[in-house]
Amino acid sequence: MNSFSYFNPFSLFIFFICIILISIIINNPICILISVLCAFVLCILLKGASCIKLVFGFIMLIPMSAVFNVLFNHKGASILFYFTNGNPATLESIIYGLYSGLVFCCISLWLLLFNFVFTADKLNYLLGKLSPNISILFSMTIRFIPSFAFELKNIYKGQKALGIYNESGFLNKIKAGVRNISVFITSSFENSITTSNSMKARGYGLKGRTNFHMYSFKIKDFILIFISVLLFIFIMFGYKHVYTVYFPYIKIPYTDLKCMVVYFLFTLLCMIPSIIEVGDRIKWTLLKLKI
Amino acid sequence: MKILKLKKGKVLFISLIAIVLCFLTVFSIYKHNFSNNLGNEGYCSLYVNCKTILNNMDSLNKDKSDLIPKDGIIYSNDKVLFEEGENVFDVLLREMRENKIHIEFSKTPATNAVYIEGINNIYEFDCGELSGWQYTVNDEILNVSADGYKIKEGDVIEFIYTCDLGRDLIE
Repeated sequence: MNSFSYFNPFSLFIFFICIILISIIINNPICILISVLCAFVLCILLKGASCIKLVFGFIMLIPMSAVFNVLFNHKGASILFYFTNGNPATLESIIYGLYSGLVFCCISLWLLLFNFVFTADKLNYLLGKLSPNISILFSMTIRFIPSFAFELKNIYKGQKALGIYNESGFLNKIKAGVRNISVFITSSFENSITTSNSMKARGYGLKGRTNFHMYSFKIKDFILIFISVLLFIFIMFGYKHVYTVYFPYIKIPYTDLKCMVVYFLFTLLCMIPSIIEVGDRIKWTLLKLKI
Repeated sequence: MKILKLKKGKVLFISLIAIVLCFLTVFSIYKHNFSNNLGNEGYCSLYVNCKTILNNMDSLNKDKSDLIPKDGIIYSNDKVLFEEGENVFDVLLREMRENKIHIEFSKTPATNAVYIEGINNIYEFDCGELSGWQYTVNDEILNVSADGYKIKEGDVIEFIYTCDLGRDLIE
């Protein structure tokens, strides 16, 4: 249970949009680092230590992107060595590669958090009025991923029990795999048709139907929207002051007062969910102590 | 699902093919650096300048403004040693490397023609849409790429940054 996901889906959506947009637009490595750290803290708060493995997978992308950037990008003033074809490998291109890997890591982490927080009913609430078709498509797709994995395992077991799953030899294995997948695709098509038929039979998407949901706008939802939009606007106005030049020389602004303000505001924006989470936990333990 | 298990012989065979492919790619890249040391040596002069940028400072990329030398000359040497059979590009690459000046180029695989993207971190398109590097030999713009012209004794080679597709070099 977490208190952050009890906010209205609409305000949560706006918060995530603000953070992801800023992380894409701003090209400052310090900001991205702040964003990654805050996302990591929130990940641990929401899911516990089990998400460290997932996060580690994202972090592995950073050195990979650095290596690929050095291979294809030769800009930069400080030359480290030359490749065999004569183009130089530069320090700046390594650092730019690290930065772009970090951006990738950052966006994936925030989308992972989005996935944690936004369950199918929340997406339905957001999109149900706007377009019932898109909403059901979304929620069905999200539901399908775990059910697909389950189904595939089931088919594998069934084929093995029937005795037609011949695993001896390379070619036989491929044949068996192809049959497995063909069975799986047929059954999943049937599944989705059944779902859509049953939704049609219930009159889903007809005019005048209302959606059931348990979300209402409270004062805290308005406050979350207000704060995140306000911080977004302020940070976008301060974009000029944190603009980083990578080529030919790296210039990261960090001494100026204005850029410090932008860093502070961005940290505040990223920390909002963690602050809510921790605050509510402290409140809960205090209440428990009273009993 | 289990991971595919291959027999030992197959693994060896596949890894052998992979190693051979790796060697081939490395060798095809490396081929360029073998220059023929057979010919006689001679002297030519090599100049690299970006004087045209000084007249078009307002269209220059702002990040690059402190890279432009005050007189526009990046490199100049009246006596550059070359071996017979070497082309303009070989000499340029060697001299830039020895003097620790940054250079980036790309090669078209089919024709093996060289295109110089940037010298001293001043790249194509940094000073307007029509800008880039061009070279002249004895004040003439040639219609071959830099590795297509073989240097003769006493040639004057100039690499010049143009801001107007070479029209500002003719004057």
